[in-house]
Amino acid sequence: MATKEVLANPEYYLTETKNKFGDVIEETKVVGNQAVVYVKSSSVAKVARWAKEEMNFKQPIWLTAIDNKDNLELVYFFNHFGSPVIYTIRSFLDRDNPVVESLTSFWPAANWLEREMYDMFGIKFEGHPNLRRLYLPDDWEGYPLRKDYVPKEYPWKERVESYYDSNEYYKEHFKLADNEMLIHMGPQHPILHGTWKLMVRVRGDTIVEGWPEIGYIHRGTEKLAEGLRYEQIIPLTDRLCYVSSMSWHTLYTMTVEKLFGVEPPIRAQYIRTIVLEMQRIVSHIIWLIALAADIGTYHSLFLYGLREREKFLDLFEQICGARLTYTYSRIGGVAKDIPDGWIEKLKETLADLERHMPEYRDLMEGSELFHMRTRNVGTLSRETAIEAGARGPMLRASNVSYDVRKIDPYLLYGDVDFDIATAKDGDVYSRYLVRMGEVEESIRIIQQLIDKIPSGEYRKKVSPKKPVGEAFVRTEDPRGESAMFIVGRGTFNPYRLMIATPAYMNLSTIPYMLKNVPFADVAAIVASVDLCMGEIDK
Amino acid sequence: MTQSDTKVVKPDENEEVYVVKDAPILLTTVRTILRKGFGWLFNWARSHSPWLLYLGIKCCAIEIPMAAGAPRFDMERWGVFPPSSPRQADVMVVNGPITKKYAQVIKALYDQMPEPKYIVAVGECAIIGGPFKKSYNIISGVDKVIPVDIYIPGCPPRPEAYLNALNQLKKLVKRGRL
Amino acid sequence: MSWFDDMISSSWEFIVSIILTVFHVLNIPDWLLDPVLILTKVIILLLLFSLDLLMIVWYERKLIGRFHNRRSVTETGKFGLLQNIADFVKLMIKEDIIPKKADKFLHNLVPALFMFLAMVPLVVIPFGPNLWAANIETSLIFVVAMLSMTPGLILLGGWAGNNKFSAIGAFRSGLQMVAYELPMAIAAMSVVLLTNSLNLVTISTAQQRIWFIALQPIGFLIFLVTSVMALERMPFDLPEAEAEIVAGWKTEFGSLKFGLFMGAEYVHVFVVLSLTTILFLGGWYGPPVIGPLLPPVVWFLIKVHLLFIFYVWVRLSYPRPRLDQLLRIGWRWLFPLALLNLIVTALLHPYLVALI
Repeated sequence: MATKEVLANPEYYLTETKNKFGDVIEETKVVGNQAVVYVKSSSVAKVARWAKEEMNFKQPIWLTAIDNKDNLELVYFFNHFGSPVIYTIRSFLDRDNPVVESLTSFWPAANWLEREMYDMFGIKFEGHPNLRRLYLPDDWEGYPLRKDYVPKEYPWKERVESYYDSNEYYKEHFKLADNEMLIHMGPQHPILHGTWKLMVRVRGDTIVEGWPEIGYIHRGTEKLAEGLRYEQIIPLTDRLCYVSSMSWHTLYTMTVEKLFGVEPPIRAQYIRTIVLEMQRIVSHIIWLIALAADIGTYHSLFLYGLREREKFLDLFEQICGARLTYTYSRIGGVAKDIPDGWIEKLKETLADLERHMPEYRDLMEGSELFHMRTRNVGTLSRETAIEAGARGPMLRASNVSYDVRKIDPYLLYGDVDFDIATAKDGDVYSRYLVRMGEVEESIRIIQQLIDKIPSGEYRKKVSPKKPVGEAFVRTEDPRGESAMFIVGRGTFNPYRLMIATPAYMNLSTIPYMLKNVPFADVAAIVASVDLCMGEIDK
Repeated sequence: MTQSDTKVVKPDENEEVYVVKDAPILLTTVRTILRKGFGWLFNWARSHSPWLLYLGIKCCAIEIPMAAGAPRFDMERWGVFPPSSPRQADVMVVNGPITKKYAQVIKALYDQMPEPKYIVAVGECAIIGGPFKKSYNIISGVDKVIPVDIYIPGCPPRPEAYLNALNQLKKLVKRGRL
Repeated sequence: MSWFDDMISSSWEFIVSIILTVFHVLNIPDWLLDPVLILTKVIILLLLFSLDLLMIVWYERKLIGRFHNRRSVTETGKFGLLQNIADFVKLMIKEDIIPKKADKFLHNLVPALFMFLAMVPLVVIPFGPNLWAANIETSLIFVVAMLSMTPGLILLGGWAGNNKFSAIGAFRSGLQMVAYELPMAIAAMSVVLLTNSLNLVTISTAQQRIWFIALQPIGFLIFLVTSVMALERMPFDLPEAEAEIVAGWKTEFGSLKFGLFMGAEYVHVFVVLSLTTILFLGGWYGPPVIGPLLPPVVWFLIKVHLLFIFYVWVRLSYPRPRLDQLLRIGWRWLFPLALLNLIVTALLHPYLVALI
């Protein structure tokens, strides 16, 4: 077998591909860590299948398309768990009749990705089990992300009155037995995780199957970004995942910096890393209190966690002036320097948190009822988790040791010493353990970096540019592996902005977890997925 | 309240017909007596226990009502309490952008709440569409779907802004203006 | 506590004299005197009880706030004391919505019946020596029977809402009843074995020298746990679990009906806590040395309120078990334990009775 150094070299994959599929490959190139392969549209599925089975590429990072004026270019990104190489398959499709074979028969994780492409571009995937729109209502006309899209008037007012009849689609498509009910756990529901609909098919008190319906806060960020300048898009990316907004705009500015060819100063990189880890702690606290509220300990952990979060929000407010959507990172660095006394306050807050963590862990783990509610609930075995496309803590809870900060280090993660938190069982309890472990690792990372911040400038002034090229950057969001891909074609605004969100893939694993479970487990399972609808609905 | 016959408002071409009929005289008299005699009590009671619907659309939901109920800002001091069902709620806080798919849901929730109800539009997205105003899927402002009583600007507004708005709502209800 | 007894007896005589004068003036026949007196007793009891109920609801909210490190209701009246009145008045004047396809008769009937059945056991509970509205020989069975009717009403209420979530919540409540009913009754029966009587007054007076909690510790624990289940309070509030089924069986009820449900829940709490106090905690007798300092009814209320604080504490600390786990707790642990307790009590009967 090839050694690790050979596997980490994209050239290896390109030569293997050319050897196997010489005639359908149009072009190959190496872009940073990516092994890019241009394939004829009829053989995309074959090459992808080979990449999965022979070359061990495990999950699709994302699937996107670029609307060149005379054709549609389909772009697939696949990741590898053993090396930082990204396998990129690109193919040109006919604009008037874009048809390509679907990957879902051997790669179930691509299910929602292909539906989104159908929704946004009109690309039809043959062999997809359920090809219908994902974000937009089913009777929407037009494909928004195409360059010649003109929005038509959508009669949302008529739908206002006919809401109570909208069950027709479901009655038509599901034949329910006599003792079954189809329940819409609707967009407004006290499961406090946002605006989506969980359709469940219930027999007595048992859920036979369940699947999500999303798109209730789809704002078209990717389309809006095509009309704004690179600097103006930063607040939009902020509001993608509002619970961990630091990680999103930092990801965006890192991608733009790669596109512009600008390297931020070292002080800015230290500050960015520290702030990202603080954001991870805050995001996991919010996840923990949501889990506690759903299981029933609303009163104990929910409000204590909010108290801890407020201390971190004070720190964020000192550094950038906002409590929730920070817009702190800029192209070329960060917006403001660290004020005086911030570092001491951060050390105090971290010490407080470290002191309280055993208490919070004891409140949850010391309670027999908590174990009863979370063990062996919503189990995803290792193979299912990888196949279904789970990311981040959901994947690591199923005994997969994969973290972008270790495989493909960015910012300063290559220089600090930390472990990847994993757990063995893949149930809700394991995900809890993984996230608590990640909080402790984040505290460790911050404590290693906080005394070593070098002096220097915190921002490099970058004048607006008109770049030509592409840039792809991926990071480890609190929810998993996230990525952004920008295509610039010589204007002040991007030609295409692709946002790859981990919570989207995590949410699409819900059908695997909701097979024949008692109804009361829905709360724990949904809470363990760690949703943030802003980033799922883009 | 004047007593009159059945009133029919003559419509234009495309308007709907509104028919206003007066209630029987005894009921109106009883109502008027109750309102004049106990109106102050009713308004006081309504202003002091605004029960909040459990709705969280987008970012502003983390601040309002989640952080506003936190120990630091504590909106329960004003008697705000989230009952679990729309049938028992007084105040609906709309805290996110309304998309064309979601407008029907907001209207249905609005219809399910019993009178008297008050709608608070929190954040720029609910007021005017926010940073996503030009999007193809966003309705610019929730007041195109349901009538709004109080607007709180900000993106997101601080929880103190929400507490201030609660106070304003309380004063307006107490004086019987809403 | 002679001054207290004098006060009560003189005020009662005053009321009786008023009624007699009214009867004399209006020339009402004599055989109506007894029912009217009983009715007056009940009305006074309920009025006084409502005051206590308002206080309980108020300080539950304050206590939960303090556990959360914040101050709960403070704006309505000083310290938020008028908050419950505001809530109740507001609920009364809200619009009443009955869904189109719901059962209108049941929708109107169930809340009223619920409140009625919750308040009925109050008339047999003795709050102090000679402080009760009625003295039935089988008052313990009466109270337990009234409490057992609650799940049936909940099923009707869930059905009346015409809503899938309501139905699920109602069925869950019915299933929960199966879990707590038997252990609760058997734990109460162990006390009956000791006193040889089902009359709550007799059970109270039998605890003059020693409280039954010392003779029946396990019975007390079982009764405590099953009473939390019976009241559907957290952590056993599956039928109204917010995160899963919105408000459960209460979903479709608004305005005054919901107010009646909320009120009835707290009335139930009071009834069950009084039952626990009478059965295990000595009724109206105070502790040995400082007993005579306060009137007996005050001791009774103190015990009830302390138990209530314990309930609130438990509510704040535990997550909710699933339905099958709840049934397992009820049938695998509580029921055998209750039976064991009964058998041990029966075996040690002569020694325990000698201690009373």
